Amino acid sequence: MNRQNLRLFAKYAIYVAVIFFAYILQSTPGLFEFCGVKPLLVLPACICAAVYEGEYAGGLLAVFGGLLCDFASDTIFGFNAILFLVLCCATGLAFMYLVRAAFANVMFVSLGALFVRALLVFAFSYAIWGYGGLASLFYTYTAPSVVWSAAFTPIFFFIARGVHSAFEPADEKEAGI
Amino acid sequence: MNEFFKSWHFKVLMGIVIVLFAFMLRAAATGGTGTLISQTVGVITAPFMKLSASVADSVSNFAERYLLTEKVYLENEELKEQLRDANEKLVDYETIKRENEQFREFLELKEDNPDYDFETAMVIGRDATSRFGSFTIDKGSLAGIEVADPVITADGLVGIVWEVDLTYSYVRTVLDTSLEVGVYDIRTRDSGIVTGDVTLADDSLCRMSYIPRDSGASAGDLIVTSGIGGVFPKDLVVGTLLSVQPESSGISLSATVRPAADISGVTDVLVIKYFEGQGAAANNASGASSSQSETSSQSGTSSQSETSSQSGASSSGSGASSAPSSSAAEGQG
Repeated sequence: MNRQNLRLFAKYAIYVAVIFFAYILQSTPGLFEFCGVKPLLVLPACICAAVYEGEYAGGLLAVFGGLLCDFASDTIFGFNAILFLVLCCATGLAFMYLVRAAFANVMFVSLGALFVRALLVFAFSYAIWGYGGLASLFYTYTAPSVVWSAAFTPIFFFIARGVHSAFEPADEKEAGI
Repeated sequence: MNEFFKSWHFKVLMGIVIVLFAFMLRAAATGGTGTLISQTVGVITAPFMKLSASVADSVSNFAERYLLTEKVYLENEELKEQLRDANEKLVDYETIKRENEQFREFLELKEDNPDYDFETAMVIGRDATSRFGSFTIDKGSLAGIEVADPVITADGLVGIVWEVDLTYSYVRTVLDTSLEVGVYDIRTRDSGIVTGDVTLADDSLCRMSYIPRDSGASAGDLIVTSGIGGVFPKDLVVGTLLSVQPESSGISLSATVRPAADISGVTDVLVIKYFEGQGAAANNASGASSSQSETSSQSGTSSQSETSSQSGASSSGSGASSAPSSSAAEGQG
């Protein structure tokens, strides 16, 4: 393995470790629980990785994060992996062609991605079963969990930016810039 | 952007989506995870989750001991008041006292139920997206745990094992709407079914339905499992009634129940791997040709021999078990 590949391997190993660590923190009982709401940390971590690493690497990291979430979730296995892949691919493409990788934009996109996932989970887990008190459930649980999860985005944003800038010269050489 | 959709990156990602979709279809068809990927992920992550849970518990205990003194003081006062109330009742009802003591102490529970085969387990993961307090424990089929094994604490019933893998299991609690437990009021002997409720789950409460309209059940009554159906042992403490009100249909009563076990805060549990009469109804049902002994878990008003759709399921040789496709229920006594 030459030096260039070693740097690439190290970079993605750090991203994998960050996502794995986010998953462990997310699943730890009682940790970061606020007013009965637990944050979803893996998705913001994947979104931030996709912002800096593009749609392909971001999509692969998203599949990894989604599979971890599927493991500890009572949704159908594969649901989170596919959803994360689509969201992170879209994020990677958007930041490559349309949007600048500024903090506010990342926050907005992360909030949107979390909201999309929350809506889908809400629809498939509660709404289609016709439970009572769904509006209350949405306002007291689903919406706060989106906001609380998005609040962790800055941490992952600065980590992703740091990792990307630390390994940027190697990437540029590989791309022939 | 069109370049991306023509690139081999896009084709690779589409391939992954197709594979994941196939796994998802398989999981939906079999009713659980049980795939090689999920088992591999589980084996890798379980030790880390266990370590993380231990650290979080230690930090939490430290904080509670030294930083939350006011909360502890208020809780202590509340507990003292509850103890005074309980003592007054216990003087009048010697039988309830004996049964309470039996159910609240694990060792006594074991001594009084020699047929129980316990497995202690630690909660290593909480489902961040579950409203019903579902969690993962650090024991799986290697420890002899099977799907539909009851999960308890010394305080009372917590839930049921929903999925089993080699080294971990997924537990659904009594707060879950997909779980139905046959119970009876220990004072009035009136039976009913305890199940989760989306709105009550927020306060860690559940609902007892199908109480006879002429029942004398009232707030403070202790409810225990009926044991009919063979999913749960008889006389496991489920919780206490907080309030009783007529159901909208008017033909029966329903009650709000506070589970005896601290569902949202539980860190260590006991899994009952075997008890006398386990899966009895399922066995009877499989032996009988009549379909009357097996009814839908949703028709709780009339069924007398409902059983869990899980009760017949067990972990497979590959170490993974599938969750049942329908809700787990136990008969109304």
